[in-house]
Amino acid sequence: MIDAAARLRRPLWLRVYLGVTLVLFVAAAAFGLLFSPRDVNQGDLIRIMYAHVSVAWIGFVAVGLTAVFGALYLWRGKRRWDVLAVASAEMGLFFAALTIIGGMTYSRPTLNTFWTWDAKLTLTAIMVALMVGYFVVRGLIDDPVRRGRVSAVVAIVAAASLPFNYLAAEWFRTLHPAKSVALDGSGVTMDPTMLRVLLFNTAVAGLIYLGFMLDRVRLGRIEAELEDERMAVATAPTPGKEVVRV
Amino acid sequence: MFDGWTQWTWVTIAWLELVLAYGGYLLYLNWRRRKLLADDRARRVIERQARGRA
Repeated sequence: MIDAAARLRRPLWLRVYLGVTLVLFVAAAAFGLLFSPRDVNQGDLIRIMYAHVSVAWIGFVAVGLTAVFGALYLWRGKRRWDVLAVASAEMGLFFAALTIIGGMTYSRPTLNTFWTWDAKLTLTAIMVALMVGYFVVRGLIDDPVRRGRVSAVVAIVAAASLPFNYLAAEWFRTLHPAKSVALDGSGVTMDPTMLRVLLFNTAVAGLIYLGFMLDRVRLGRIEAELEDERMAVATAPTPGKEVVRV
Repeated sequence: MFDGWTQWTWVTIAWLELVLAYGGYLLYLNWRRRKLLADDRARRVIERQARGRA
């Protein structure tokens, strides 16, 4: 029997980590809001970009890692990969939803609309819908093994959209602006100070992702152990009762 | 409605979204932790009662 009460408390190291992350977040916000230069075209609205783009990149990483953990669960069958996949999926949904909300806040004053069915926006909306589906699927299946396998497939399907999402702004020059930072090293069309502020904000968003993951994984592990314990109790023969085998 | 909003209004809203989201997620984790603990305690009480009847 596990002692859930003692293990559920956030350990000191995690509280310190989250505290340091909070300080770094305040610093990142200060860089974006106070120290970043104004943009020639967007003026002060460029300060939204640091919040929006950093969260979007980490959201993509979270969805990608969900698929990796899901694939590892399909391959190895160990429960810990499923626990990691669920935690990362929650983060993926969280950051992707935040990307859409932040994108709408950025889009209205710069492009005069909250939303349009632009390729990149549509692909992001589909990704969010798939991540919602991930949790709907998990809620519908009681058997932990089957639940882990089916949801892993959903995560892989969601992650399959990521390369198209990354390239959508290049392929379809519609509403969403093209990339200013290319991952293939082909160039950066951004002021160096702005780039540094953006990278710092992305690093802090990454640290927040990691901190939330660590906390969520701890919870997930205890939930999994309690579920196993509950199932063991439910399937154990009742003492004093004869088991009739047919 | 939104045409009269200044650039700094939009910037403030965008950053407040992050603050609310991060704070909200931490509150959600705390709620989940408390719920897990309450469910576990309730289950143990039921199991103890069931063992007592058996």
